[in-house]
Amino acid sequence: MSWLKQILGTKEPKSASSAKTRLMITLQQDRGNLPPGLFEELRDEIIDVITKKLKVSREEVMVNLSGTPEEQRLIAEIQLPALAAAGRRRR
Amino acid sequence: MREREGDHNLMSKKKSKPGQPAPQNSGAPAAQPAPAPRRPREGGARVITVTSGKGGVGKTTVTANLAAAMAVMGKKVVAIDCDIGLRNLDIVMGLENRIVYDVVDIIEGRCRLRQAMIKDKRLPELYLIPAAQTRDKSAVTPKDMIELCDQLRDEMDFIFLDCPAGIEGGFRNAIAPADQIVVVVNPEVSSVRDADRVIGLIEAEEKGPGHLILNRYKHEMVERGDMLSPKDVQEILAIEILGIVPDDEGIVVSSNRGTPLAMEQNPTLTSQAFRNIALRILGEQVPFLELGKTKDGILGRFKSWIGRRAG
Repeated sequence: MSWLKQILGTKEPKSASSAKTRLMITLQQDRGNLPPGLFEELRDEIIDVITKKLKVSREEVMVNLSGTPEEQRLIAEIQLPALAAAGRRRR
Repeated sequence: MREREGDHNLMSKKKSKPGQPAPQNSGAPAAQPAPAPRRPREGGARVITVTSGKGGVGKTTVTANLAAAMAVMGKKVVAIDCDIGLRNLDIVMGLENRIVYDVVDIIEGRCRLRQAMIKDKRLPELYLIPAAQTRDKSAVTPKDMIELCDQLRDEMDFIFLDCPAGIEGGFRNAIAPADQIVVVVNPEVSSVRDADRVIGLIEAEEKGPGHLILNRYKHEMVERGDMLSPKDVQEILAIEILGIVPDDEGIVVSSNRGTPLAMEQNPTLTSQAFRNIALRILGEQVPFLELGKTKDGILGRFKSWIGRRAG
């Protein structure tokens, strides 16, 4: 029935053009407000600093982006290790 | 970002290329795609990692065929399967019954490098180092891969790394030694989305920009408006297309037989596409193939668009 569509004029856009539009929007959201790669760099460096100063493993440092593109946050969350009993100063 | 010698190479090539007006008639020569960056390191092999993010888009096929195409042209090539636990490059290349040692055996010192290199008997200098099938991915680190490739750099012209799907440890291992990264993408939404993520990671590792190979291209679907065109994909992902490989039943047949298309005596459109990609990697300006019946169609317009951008 494509000949009929050609005569009547089809209103809906071709599927490839929908795909392109959807991808442009989705990738904008995927990338967030940071240029490509910067989130990973920040995450790695934050983890480096935290694991240097605290006795935690890399997996215990959570670094994530959250929120919408308009109100996006970079959040780092670390559960601080409990002080060892032997290390506590006598009061 | 620090400058690399290859960047100068690419820049000077772009400037010196004579400007070509977009040809309207189908007989005129098509515009030239940008050549791949980075000369091989002085006196050493060029390490090219083939990645994608999404699985099943054709990394292994592309790796096997590019390695074969280079070997057909007389280059000394080794292909390394980096998919620990999911070995595939061997069976696609038809070398699955010759495996004695694998990449983890080399790294853990159970064999010498040469013992794990399977020499393909059909071509003068094509080798495969297979993946380990029964190990987990933590058996290899990025440093291991860099050292392995360094051992091969003197003897080889090209080292192709077949990267596993995903963006975790196997991916990081495979891109660590890379001089150049090729991202295989299919013209469909999930592949493009994953490719974008991978490209971001590549740039974060300062290994960018990658180059795209658009695999499983179906010209009729693109002409109908039912498939993303090369121009669409290049606009969305914002990196250059190194080559376009058509969707071809011949690929399945060639894998069935264990003979990569690029090795076949009778050239097909697909094997020519791989050969052209190999030539572009070597720095030659090769126009994109006519992959459809109408020369002035989508592909013709893409070439004109490339010509205007690159000229």
